[in-house]
Amino acid sequence: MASSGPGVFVLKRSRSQTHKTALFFIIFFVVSGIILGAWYVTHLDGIVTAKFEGRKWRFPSKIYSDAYLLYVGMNVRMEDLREKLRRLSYRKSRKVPRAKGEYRYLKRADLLEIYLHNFAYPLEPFKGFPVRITLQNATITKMENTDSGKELFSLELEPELVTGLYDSIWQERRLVRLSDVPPLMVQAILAIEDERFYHHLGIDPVAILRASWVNLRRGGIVQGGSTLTQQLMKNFFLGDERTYERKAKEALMALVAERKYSKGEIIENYLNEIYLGQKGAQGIFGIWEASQFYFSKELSQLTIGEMALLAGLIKAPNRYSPYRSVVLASRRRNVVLRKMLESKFITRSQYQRARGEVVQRRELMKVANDAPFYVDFLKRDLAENYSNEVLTAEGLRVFTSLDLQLQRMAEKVLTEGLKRLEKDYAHLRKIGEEDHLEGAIVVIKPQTGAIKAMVGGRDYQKSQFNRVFQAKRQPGSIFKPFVYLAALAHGSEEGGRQFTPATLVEDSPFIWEYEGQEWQPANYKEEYFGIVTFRRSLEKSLNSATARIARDVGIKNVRDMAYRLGIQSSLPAVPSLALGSAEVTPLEIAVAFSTLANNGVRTRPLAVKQVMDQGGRVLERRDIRVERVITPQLTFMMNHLLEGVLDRGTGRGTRLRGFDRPAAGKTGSTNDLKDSWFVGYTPDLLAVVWVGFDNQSELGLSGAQAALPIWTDFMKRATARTPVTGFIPPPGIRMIDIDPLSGYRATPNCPQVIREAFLEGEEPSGYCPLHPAPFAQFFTEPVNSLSWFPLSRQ
Amino acid sequence: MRDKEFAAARKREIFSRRFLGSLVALLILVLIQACAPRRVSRSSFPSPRISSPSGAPGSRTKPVVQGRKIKEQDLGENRSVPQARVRDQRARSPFGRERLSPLPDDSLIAKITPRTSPQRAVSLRFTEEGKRLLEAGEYARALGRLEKTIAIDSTNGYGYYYLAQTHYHMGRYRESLNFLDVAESLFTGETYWLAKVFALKGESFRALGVFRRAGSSYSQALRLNPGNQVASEGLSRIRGRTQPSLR
Repeated sequence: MASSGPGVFVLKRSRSQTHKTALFFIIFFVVSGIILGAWYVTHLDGIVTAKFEGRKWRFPSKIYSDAYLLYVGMNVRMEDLREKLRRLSYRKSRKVPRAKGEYRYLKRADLLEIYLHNFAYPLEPFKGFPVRITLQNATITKMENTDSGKELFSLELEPELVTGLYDSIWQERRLVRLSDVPPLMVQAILAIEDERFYHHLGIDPVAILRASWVNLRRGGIVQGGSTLTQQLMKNFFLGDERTYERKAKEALMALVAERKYSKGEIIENYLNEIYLGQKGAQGIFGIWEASQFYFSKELSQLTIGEMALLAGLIKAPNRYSPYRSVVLASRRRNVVLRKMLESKFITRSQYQRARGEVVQRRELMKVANDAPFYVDFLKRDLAENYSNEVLTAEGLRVFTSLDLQLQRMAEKVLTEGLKRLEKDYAHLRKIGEEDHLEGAIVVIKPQTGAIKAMVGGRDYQKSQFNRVFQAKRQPGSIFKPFVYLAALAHGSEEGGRQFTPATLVEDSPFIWEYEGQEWQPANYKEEYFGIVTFRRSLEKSLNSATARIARDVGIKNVRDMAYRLGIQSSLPAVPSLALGSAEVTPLEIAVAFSTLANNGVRTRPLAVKQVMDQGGRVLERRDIRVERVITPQLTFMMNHLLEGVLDRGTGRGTRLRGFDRPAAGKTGSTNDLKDSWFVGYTPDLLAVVWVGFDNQSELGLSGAQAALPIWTDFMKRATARTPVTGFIPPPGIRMIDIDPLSGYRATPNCPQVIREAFLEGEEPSGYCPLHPAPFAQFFTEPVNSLSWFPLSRQ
Repeated sequence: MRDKEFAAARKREIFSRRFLGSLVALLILVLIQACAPRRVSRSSFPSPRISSPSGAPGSRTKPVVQGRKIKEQDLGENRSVPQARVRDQRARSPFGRERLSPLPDDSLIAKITPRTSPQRAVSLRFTEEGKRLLEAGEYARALGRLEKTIAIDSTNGYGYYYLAQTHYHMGRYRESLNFLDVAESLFTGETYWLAKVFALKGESFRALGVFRRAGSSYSQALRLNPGNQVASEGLSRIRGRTQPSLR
């Protein structure tokens, strides 16, 4: 002490100062750290709480096709039916189907056995049961519920999932409560993922040490020490990056979550959150969805082996997926089973039995949007009532009129048809260098207005422009039936002259003066036919004769008729309207002609049928709406005339191509040949085809050349094996044989005879004077000389 | 060229008329005129007043059973050909005994015979299901079933009728009338069902406050089936409503 001098004192003082300063900084940093740490933990607490208390998941809305009805007496193609079952994820079985989603076909006995899936239809949840369908020569002769022995007259295969409406990723999940999950399922997961779950506080030091030791020995990361809580935090909030920062954050969040929430709440969230596989665009999330995806079973129906398989998937869902490799899936399952046995969750005998379960090989049916144009149309339709946020997050279920079989057919025939046109007509390829040849098809069931299929363009990936309802094009001759129907309904505006299918009209050049302007219609290729019947004029689509009829009827009456049938676009009442100069969409044409196919009853077009929320509540139901706008008699006469278009007129190409069902239709080509149309229908199905260029380049082909072949291909496939039905004459119609040249009743000498439909009392009374039969004069009424003259001469 | 042909034809006609039995032709013409059917209305809209398809009241369609609610079986004779294929075979028995068989009132299942087309059969079964749901007050489910009926078989007038009834119960009277218009055109000749259609039209018009048309619809229903209780009660209500205002 005595030796200490001033120098030592200074040194001591300075040391003490340094210590103090150091201490101050240490305390400062520690306190700051604690404050910051506390703040950060509070911040994380806020995040975790917000997630746990708020909306954890977004549920995409799902779009479903129409259900597929089977009934006794129905004609079915077994290949089509099996394809349908395949798409609905039914599994082929060699034994009698015992589990939902299995089916067996016995070819020799012509017997199909299906164990139907459950399905939550609006208002009527359906519980699957086993059904036996007996067939004879491709006709269903008997259907019965093999559980109850009850005979069935019809049954429905559930609607197909078309696509989901989602924000960025399609996460498919259905929430389950922990109480609804079998304890063994939870134990299987705990055994393989976090066996000390009930003993740690969010992070498991034992597991971390064990994982570190294993990784050290193996020289790489082969085992993780994350607890279920950490995994949940990672899935909820963090990405997949392997950084210490992320790990630390994950651990902190796990601690926070464990402090605030019970083990039960955490495991329940985990069971609903976990990613377990991929079905095309659809990600399989949560244990319920996985159970359905891999086994088509409810959780309560899973075997121990299946539970172990699901638990094993968590590590690498796509690697261990039984869809990908049954061997790998089985191996992984056995690892889980071994862990379950070690943890004493199962007995040895349960373990042995579960190991013996055979993992079935299954075909993966990916959900691919097969109807993108239709879905776009639906989105627009739905957007009127539901915001995008609701559609992509609220898990609505949208039931539609879509028939996926018809949709696929329509897409195929359109693509093939357009390719064929480009192959056959070189000029289309040349124009195609600037703008692709495009087309559209829309298919409607006339009785209900159900839009069964819609293809708005050739390739959705290249152009999403939906020509069915977005493209307004000149309809050309396809508009003419409205003129003829107006003529049958109203007769001549001046003079009250009535029209019948046998009325003679003149087909020659003329000038139509209208409101001080002149308009001169011209026939295709400037070819005129002189005096023709009303029918022949329509069948041959003669412009001049049609324009004369329109002039006599009054263009406003023609326009009103088009509106009445269902055209909604604005139609100017000008003479050229008669030849289809006003622009309309293919959908409008389909609706208008549906009215004819449906005996004069207009229906509103229906794409969306019902919308359900996640809880099964029906939010919206769009009913069939009908309105009789034309009498059945006039409609029948019009349909009968349009049948002639297919049999003898511009649409006879349909017959030459082998479409021989009773059907009516009309070709349409615009004057400048920019648009090619064909509309045709049987009493049960209507299709409109449009072909052209988006940039209005000249197509150079008529409706018969471009649109008709596509229509015929489609209708031949679409109506195959469906009952043949014709247009039935209603009371008040008389069918009379007519000579098409004179328009009078045919005699045995008439070389050509057409059976014509007349309103009772309007049928011609005289016999054909051009081909008189021997003694026909006995039955001939005096011919009214006036009626012999054509409608008008210019 | 064609004008010349016409002229020649006319000459031939005049020649033959002079020299070959003009009296016979005249007689035949008179006969044709006498047998000529009545002219059908040209209006493109369905007439609001539809004449009885089976003729005037008092014809053989007039029910012979009085004093009780007249059922379809009592009016079964005048069905048109298209409906004949779905008619219950028992109703066509030459002995008529089966007519009294205990068919449920308006049973549609009974209309299914071996000759019924599969579409019509399944459509009728759905109609029956829809009808039961309607009776149980489950209108939304009834609509679902009944819409299927017309999708499967668009000529099933019963489907349209019960759809109309469902819409009526849901308070959609205009919709109800639209479906009834279609049903009416499909029930031609089926007086019992036509009467039901007109009675329901009357109800819908009354609900809309169009009393004059309601009255004429009820009257039409009663002309077709005097035992139609809905129509007779509806008519009394309308009369009860209009009488005080007349005073």
